[in-house]
Amino acid sequence: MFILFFIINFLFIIQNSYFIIPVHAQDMSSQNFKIQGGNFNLTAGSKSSQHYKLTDVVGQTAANVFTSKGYIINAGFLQSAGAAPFVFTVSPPVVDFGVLTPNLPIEKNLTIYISNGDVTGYSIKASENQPLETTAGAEIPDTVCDSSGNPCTHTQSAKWTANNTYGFGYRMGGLTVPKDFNKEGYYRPFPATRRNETAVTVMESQARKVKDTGLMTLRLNTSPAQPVGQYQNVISFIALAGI
Amino acid sequence: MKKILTISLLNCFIVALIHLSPCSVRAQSLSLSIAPPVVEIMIKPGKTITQTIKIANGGESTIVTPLLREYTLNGLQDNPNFTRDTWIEILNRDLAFDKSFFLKTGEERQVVLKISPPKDLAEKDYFRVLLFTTKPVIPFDYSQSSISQSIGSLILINVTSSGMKNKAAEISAFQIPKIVDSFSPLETRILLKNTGDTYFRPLGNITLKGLIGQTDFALNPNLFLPGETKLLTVDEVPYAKDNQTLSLPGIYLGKYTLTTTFTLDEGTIKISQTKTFYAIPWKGMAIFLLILFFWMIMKKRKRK
Repeated sequence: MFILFFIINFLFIIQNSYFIIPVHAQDMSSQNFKIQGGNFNLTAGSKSSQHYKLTDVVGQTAANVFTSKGYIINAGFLQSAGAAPFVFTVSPPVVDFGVLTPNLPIEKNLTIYISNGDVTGYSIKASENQPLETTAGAEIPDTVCDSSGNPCTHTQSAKWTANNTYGFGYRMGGLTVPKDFNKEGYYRPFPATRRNETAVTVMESQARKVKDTGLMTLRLNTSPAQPVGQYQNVISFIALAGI
Repeated sequence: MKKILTISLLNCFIVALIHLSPCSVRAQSLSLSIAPPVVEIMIKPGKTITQTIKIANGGESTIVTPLLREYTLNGLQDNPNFTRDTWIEILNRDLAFDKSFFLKTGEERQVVLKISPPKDLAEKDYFRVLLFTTKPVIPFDYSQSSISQSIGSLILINVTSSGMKNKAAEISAFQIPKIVDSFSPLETRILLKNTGDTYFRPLGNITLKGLIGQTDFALNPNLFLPGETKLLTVDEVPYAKDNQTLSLPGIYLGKYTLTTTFTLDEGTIKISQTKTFYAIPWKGMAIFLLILFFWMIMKKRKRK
């Protein structure tokens, strides 16, 4: 009796957990558009001439709409943009470097997650407001990496593994990060908005329905001559989709 | 009886855990989402429209500032000389551009944009981004990097009184090797240039046709701004941005044609180009010939 009850309960859990079939409203889709239940409007097609493009929805011809109302908005139909939101996550919101010890590099990770839904492509750019700085104005310089003859730049990473090369920089890991990070121990400095430098791409894709994760490793190494203090800055990420 | 009661309670707890867990909220993170991420508008000067953009917070509670920025060939611009268009406004009473607001964990706000190009506005494309930027946390008493996150909705506005758009494009490069190895992916490089006055998205395919069949790869409808040259990419096939090539996987043998055919948006301007290549297992053949060569040498030496 007890075993039977246990089995029934177990089946109840399984049924609740795994056999819930998602219910969708009526969807219509092709390669170029998707009309979901919420936007359902019979059917769709397009009208065009060589230098003229208007997409119409049955019962509401776009050409007539544009002529009479004076506008057309595509915010979901043609690029399926209405189907799923564009999600962008960075974790954690603060990177604590702890106690800075000269010649002892500190590495901290940031996880970046992106989901662009049904629109095509995305790009994530990063920059810092300034190099790590104390309120008194002492500054940890941005890294130039190990080789002074071939220094790393905002757009080209270089090897940075020596404990006596000082500065602050980052490297990226993931499928859609710049290829120059493929080599282990390769870093770049951040562009600083204070120096009017433009943000650089750290993750990018041309595809749609992408769910990508990137790992940013921040590296900080201070020299024995570095004044003691709390060094701080702000790292900014900007994400856009549908490009 | 006690056991039955315990199991029942345990079941209720497991079911509740499975169904009621808030999956979309991420602790210790900044997580904004926006919908729609792209808005395309064609509007006559002197007309007014409104568009709602939803911003939701799936991470820590944060302070968010809505900004209007310019989008150009070089991407999102933080141009200090850019003057915000006065004909793009936020209609919400409690929200305004450059004015911060508090967004709690799990909260969603709807921002209503009013777009009303004046009658004397130049008829052309205006590319803007409605950007939501989080305020970094107040620094603590230790060395740290605070994170600021921005997410944007791309607003492509075509101001026109006639609805006419001068769309034009050309394939500026179509490169494939004449002979490829049968067991290597086909490396192609197809660059498209927007030579018109307005943006478009290519809608079409890359078709690979052999002696016994053909495969279609749907083009990604990426955004091409006026003057922009970009690689044509296809869904679910990796591409190397650094050397701008597209790898089409497969096992090839014999004569093939690679055709790209697409229209500029849903219009009738159709662009098509075809290239031919031949596939032979030359790497395998080279190894076989090399082995054969050494085998013959060995055989000769043995005879001697």
